[in-house]
Amino acid sequence: MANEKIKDPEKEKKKFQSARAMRELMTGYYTESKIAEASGSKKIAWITSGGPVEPLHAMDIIPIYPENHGAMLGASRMSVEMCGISEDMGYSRDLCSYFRGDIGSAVTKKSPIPGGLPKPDFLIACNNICGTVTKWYEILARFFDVPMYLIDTPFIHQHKTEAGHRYVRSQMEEYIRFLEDQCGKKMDRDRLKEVGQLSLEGVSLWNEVLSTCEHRPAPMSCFDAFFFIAPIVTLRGTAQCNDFYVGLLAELKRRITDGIGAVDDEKYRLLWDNIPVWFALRPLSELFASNSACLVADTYTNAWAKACLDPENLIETMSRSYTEIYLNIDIEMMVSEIKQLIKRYSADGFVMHSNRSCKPYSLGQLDIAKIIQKDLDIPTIMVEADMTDERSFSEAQTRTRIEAFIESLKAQH
Amino acid sequence: MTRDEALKIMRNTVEDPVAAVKGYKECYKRPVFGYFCTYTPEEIIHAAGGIPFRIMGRNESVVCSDAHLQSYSCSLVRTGLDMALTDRLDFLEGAVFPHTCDSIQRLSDIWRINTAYSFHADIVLPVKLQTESARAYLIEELTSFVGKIETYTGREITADSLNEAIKLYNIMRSNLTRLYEAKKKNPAIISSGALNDCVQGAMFMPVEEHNLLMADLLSDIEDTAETGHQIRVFLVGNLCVFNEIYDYIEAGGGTVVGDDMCTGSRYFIVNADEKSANPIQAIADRIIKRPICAAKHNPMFDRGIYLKEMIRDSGAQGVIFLMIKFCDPHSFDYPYLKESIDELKMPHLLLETEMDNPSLGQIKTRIEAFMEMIGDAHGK
Repeated sequence: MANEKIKDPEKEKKKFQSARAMRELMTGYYTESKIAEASGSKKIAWITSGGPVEPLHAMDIIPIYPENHGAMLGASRMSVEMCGISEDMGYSRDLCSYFRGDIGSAVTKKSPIPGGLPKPDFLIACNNICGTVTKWYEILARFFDVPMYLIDTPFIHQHKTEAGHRYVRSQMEEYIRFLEDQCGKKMDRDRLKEVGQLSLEGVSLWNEVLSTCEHRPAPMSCFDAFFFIAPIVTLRGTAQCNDFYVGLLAELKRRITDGIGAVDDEKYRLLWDNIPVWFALRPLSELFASNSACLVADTYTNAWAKACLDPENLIETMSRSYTEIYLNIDIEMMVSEIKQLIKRYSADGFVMHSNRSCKPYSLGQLDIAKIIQKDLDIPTIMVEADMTDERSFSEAQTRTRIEAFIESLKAQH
Repeated sequence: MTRDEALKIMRNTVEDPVAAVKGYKECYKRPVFGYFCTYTPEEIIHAAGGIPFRIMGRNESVVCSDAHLQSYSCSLVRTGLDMALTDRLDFLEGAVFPHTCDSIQRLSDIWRINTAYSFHADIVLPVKLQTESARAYLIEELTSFVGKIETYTGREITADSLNEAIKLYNIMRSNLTRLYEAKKKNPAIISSGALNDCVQGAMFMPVEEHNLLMADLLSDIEDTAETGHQIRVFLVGNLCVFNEIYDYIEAGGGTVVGDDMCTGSRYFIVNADEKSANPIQAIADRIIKRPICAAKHNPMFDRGIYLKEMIRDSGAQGVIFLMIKFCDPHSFDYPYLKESIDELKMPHLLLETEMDNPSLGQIKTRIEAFMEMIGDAHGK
């Protein structure tokens, strides 16, 4: 039995030292929020993953992300049970599984976080990622009986409009006034500028982290990025977030120097599209790795890697950058971003997750696949799944399809 | 024209909207513009000299859409795209996509990439409606649509032409409101299916034509007396394109006395100011004033409270939710609306359908059972 304790040195080399630092960071964040909930020492706002978080940090409000929680429910295999609770309440199984899981958890308090997420004092929804969050937060506002502010970012078809920009800009000021009313104090604009600067630095660091995968072999895969994304989403605009990514970046650079790749004998470099299949990260990651295929980049984690904020002109640049995000642009603009990623990361193939839970991400994928295949002549595959609802996923079927896809890559090389 | 003749034209139009509008196009010599969603400002299309035509699929399997849209897309989107890809909409100049939901938003892109219409317009309406900044943006977005369609038709849209269009659409809306009121008072005056034909007919024919038919219909209908003794049913949901469903309700001894549907009262419920010096503002204000659809956000408007008032006022004895499957906004609202109706101690039934695969047999059985249950409770 003693043999089991002996660790494989090759496997150990691949393990990220930063993983522990991140777990500590995230545990600290949730612990602080639970203490704030109990003591009332700080206000708590629930906010959507693409929402402008900078004003919250500047007002010393703790931001909580139900979508991140939805992903945690998926990764901890609790989502199906929680989704079932919300389906019993009358919510259709066709609705977003982050939403279904999160409502089930709000009602039952069951969660990977003991006692569930801390209760919100108010809600901030930004519909730049989907219309689902508008409805989701309306339901949360009724459930918790708290106020909600919606930041409405007009979708960009073919070109941005100045009218749309003016509308979002007005709302950024309304949003700050909403926070001032909720907290009974004025926004400290100097502090907001500092947070803007930290956010800009954090996003730049995250972009550098992802960019290390331009290297052959890639020092991490997108499965690692899916794990390490938590701080840039939840703690963007804080020094702890940036400190963490400084450490991670140093580790990735060391891996490049030491010749450590995410995948042994990396032969095929692939691009991933859509939100991860949170409950199947390990089998999918192992399946690709065992076939010498590395998912070197993805459209999902790259959505937090665009450094467009100007702290000197924060309201203006927040309005623009939060409107122009990946899910708020039309198919042609998405194709152009995908092509840039394929080029930058020297991808040989494109793996698309057709995600039942996310219509703005998934509708249009069939046309995007056709355009990418036609223009770049690289193979694409569509994986039918759901980000957290395991009932919409067949592992065996997916395995067979991915293996066939990799065979076709081999044939091309 | 007699009431029956007017209703016959409505029926034929709704039975085959494409054939009907092609006839009107020929006769009126006006270009036809397709649109999705009742938030489309039809008055602007009319002022541009066009005929607005609502794109909704029928009970037919899709042929080409599956290559572009996953199976979890709603059937409004799948059947609409299919009609375009199979050349059944070749009489259109193009289509107008008001921002409604995530699916219509992506449909606009897919449509533009895969079809060759000479006209394509997105009206990216604000999602929230209660704020000043949203109103200012809405007016700018509508003004931009006016510019787009003017450029396309080469015909200037004046304040007078807009006011004239608003007047015509107000008549249409008022006529439908009167017909709903009359039916609520005496459900026997018109069948539920025919009432629905009158609403949907307005989405497929020139407004002038609809106003003429309705004038004849209303003058004839309001003379009819004879109160019926049917079970009063209220409908809630998004779209209903199946006349059969109304027949099932009536066959079960029921009658529809009101609704909150996209293919019902949400289409016509509020009028716009027809004497405004700034008619675009008047159109915007109508959009803001309308009882909201589930895809819009207005914290000052509670759909649950609104629905309870509508249902009480209609004297309904039961509520049927009619939902096109995979419609996120309406599915999100369903549990809350259901609870609101529970407060009225009123029975309700949820029916999910798909426009291309409606499972009408099953729906019939469920409606029969529901009507029987209400009938028993009311001692009939």
